[in-house]
Amino acid sequence: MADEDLTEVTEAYEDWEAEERRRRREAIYDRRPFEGLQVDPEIDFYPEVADREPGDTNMVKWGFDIHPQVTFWSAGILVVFVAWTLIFQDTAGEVFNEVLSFVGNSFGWLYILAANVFVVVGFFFAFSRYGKIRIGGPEAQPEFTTAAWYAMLISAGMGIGLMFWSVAEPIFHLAGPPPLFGVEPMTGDAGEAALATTFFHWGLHPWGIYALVSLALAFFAYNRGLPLTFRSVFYPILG
Amino acid sequence: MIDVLTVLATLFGLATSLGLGVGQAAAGLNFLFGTPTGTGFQVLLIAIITGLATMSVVAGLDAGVKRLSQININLAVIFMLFIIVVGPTLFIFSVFTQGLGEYLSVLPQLSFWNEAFSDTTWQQGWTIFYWGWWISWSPFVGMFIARISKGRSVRELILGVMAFPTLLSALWMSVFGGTAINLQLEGVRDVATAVNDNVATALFDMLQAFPLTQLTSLLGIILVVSFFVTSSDSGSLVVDHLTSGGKLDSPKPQRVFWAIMEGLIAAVLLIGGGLTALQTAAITTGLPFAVVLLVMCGSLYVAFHEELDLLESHYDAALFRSRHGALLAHHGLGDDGHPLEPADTANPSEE
Repeated sequence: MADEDLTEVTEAYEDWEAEERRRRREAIYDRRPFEGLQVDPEIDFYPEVADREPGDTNMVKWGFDIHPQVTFWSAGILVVFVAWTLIFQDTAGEVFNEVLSFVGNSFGWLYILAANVFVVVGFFFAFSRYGKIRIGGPEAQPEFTTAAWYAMLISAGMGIGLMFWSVAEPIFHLAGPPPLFGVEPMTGDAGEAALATTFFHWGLHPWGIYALVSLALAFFAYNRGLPLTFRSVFYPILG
Repeated sequence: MIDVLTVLATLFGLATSLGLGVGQAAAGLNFLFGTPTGTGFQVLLIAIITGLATMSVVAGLDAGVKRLSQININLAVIFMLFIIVVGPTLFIFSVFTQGLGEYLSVLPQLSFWNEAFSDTTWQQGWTIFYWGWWISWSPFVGMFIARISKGRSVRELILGVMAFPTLLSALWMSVFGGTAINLQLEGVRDVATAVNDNVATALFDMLQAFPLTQLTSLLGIILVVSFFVTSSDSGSLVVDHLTSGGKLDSPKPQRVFWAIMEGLIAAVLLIGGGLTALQTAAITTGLPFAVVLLVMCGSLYVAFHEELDLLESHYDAALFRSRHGALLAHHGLGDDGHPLEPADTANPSEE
């Protein structure tokens, strides 16, 4: 290919890239400010779902606008729980302790195994051919700048915990390192183990869980036009 | 049913964090102004923070969460830079690097280790509590991240949520935790005793080893409160979204109601059973979700497979055209990659 041809092709490609960048900037700039979390569906993948308006079975009364089943069940369980804790203040603590050690002893392995599954599945989706799927369809553009996106996801996901545990957790591990490491407390080795364990608790596993859950919810809301809730995630297998 | 579970997990998860955050804010205020740290004062603090969160919820996502998040991150970065400068700078960077290496090398063993052959119970209070906590937080954090992630590819979303925040967490932990470990091991300040005494004072105790203690402690308290308001705000948006059946704009009184409920639950749990109550609520509501999330992986795989088939039949050709059309035309090829005018070459006699 002659040199001028190559220049022409390169220019055409650069034009296309500039166009893409412009579209991305415009999409962020033109975004309609939103108040709630609802996604306005742009796609009707499942016609029987698209025909329904969100909240069509709602009760509207006294300034509330609620989905009766979800609201009353949640509120009911909460009220019972709160009342029970207040009435049986003395025994509540013991019961909590028992439940805690029961769940920890019987299902600890499930938590440990599941967290690893999420990390592996997350990496699999990211690096396999599924990685190129775009949330909202191939032509979709982001609604937030990458900086604002990171700021929001870190603030919502961990901010408060990072404030609370950043000094406390490494110090606890320094004084009582995890038995796995087999190191003496309050030594340099324990310091290394302490930081590695803290990275572990605040690293790939928690963020992997968040990544997978947000991916599933976003995909079914934006690419399938289903409501933004956990129910939608099971639509393909349960109908 | 699953929406009820989401609402409960969100409220309990937020209440746990509110309980922790209030304990820390109370410890900081006690250190600065000598205010009491008892349950009564903490309940008062919960009321104040809930009030702030309610205001932010009413303001909506753009004016509330988005602006607050950016302020938070800027403040947190300033806070971190300050500690890096006044703290053991070189030690922080070297411990960050070495800690990262230790983390990566021990990860496979550490992440599957379940104390199967030992009678220790270290893990239950730490790893299992954390996993339960993260899983019970995941419905609402996930729903919130989902809402702001339109237009990003699967790869961008997963790596964006997994890689960068992981590194940032590690850096943050190295700066604060590493500095504290350094103070402890060098014998400059006995942080461990203070932490053992009351875990909520950890940060403020460490800050006393450095100049401008009053100012940094105040910054710490502001960050605790504003981070919590941000989390609580996004949580209320989620709960409100679910209990209104997904309406585009639900009435304000309803948002206010759920924001207040959060504060109430935190207060009751604090009075009723302290940290154990909060831990129990978080771990127990996390359990059904662990199963839900495992099923979700399968469901997502099925749907992704379907999406790729769709893409290949519908969208790929169009995308390919817009990106590579110029290049193809130059080679005398059409959009489908075949020569442009096959008829001409087949029948040269027509020319």
